[in-house]
Amino acid sequence: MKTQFGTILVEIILFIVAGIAAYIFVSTAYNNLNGISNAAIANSQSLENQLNTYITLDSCAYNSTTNLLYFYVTNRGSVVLNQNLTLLFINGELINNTQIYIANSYTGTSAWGPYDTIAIVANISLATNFYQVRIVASTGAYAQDIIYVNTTAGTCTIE
Amino acid sequence: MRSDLGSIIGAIIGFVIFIVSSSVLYLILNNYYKNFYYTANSIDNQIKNIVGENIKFLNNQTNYSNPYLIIYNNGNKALDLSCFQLYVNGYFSSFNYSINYLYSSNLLLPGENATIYFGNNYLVNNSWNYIILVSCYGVKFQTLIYAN
Repeated sequence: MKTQFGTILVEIILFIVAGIAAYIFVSTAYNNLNGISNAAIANSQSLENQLNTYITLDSCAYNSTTNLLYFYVTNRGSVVLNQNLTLLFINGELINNTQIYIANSYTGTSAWGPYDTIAIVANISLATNFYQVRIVASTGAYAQDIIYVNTTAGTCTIE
Repeated sequence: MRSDLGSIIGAIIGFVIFIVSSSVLYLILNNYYKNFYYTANSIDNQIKNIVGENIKFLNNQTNYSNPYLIIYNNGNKALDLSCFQLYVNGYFSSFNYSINYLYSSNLLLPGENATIYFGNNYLVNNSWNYIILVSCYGVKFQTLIYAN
């Protein structure tokens, strides 16, 4: 009787310990899952903005007299963008002195909406060469192309 | 009897932990999988929009004072000229257009041609000029035209 009682007691204790361990595991997993789920939702929302942003570098022009390099970028996505937050990189270097304006407003607003074209004008002195150009919109989506600038002829073409 | 009870309880607890772990794993993976599915779908839609658009330039010469382009839709998609962009020698140029309708719509349908009228601000007289016409979905059509 005593040994049986002792064994049953041990089993009860073991069961309680196992139950506590299971509870700790489940509550920790649940809390972590909540955190992971919130992070995934936030990530997918920012990803959605990036996916809905689609900009294309349509054309470029170079005026060798004024040293002005023009890039025309059209918004072909569904997100309205702030054109003033657009960044221009040439060969990986951020170009600071740029002027940005709406070249053509399809939407008729002062924002950079779907099918609106902006002009990015950089005051930069270049040699005849190929350059890698990346234009990054405010959502992080970007358009990247290689351009060829001929300073003698005053032309710029996208490869 | 004692060992049986212990085994049963152990098995139940083990089973519960297994169910909880696999549910957690499923929920985490399902969320990431949805992102990839969304990416693939949106890329697929973009490609479907682009394929099938094609135009032909019918003139390679124009007068300098009132330049124009004649284009012909020889693709298999209707084109909305109102959201096209025109670039003359690299510079953005606004334009007007008139479509020679075979079927009354506001679009340039396959088989129809249209005339595009633009300014000569960036046109070079007595020279070949580089013309880029970009469709609503970003497809570029390019040609050279002689202005005199």
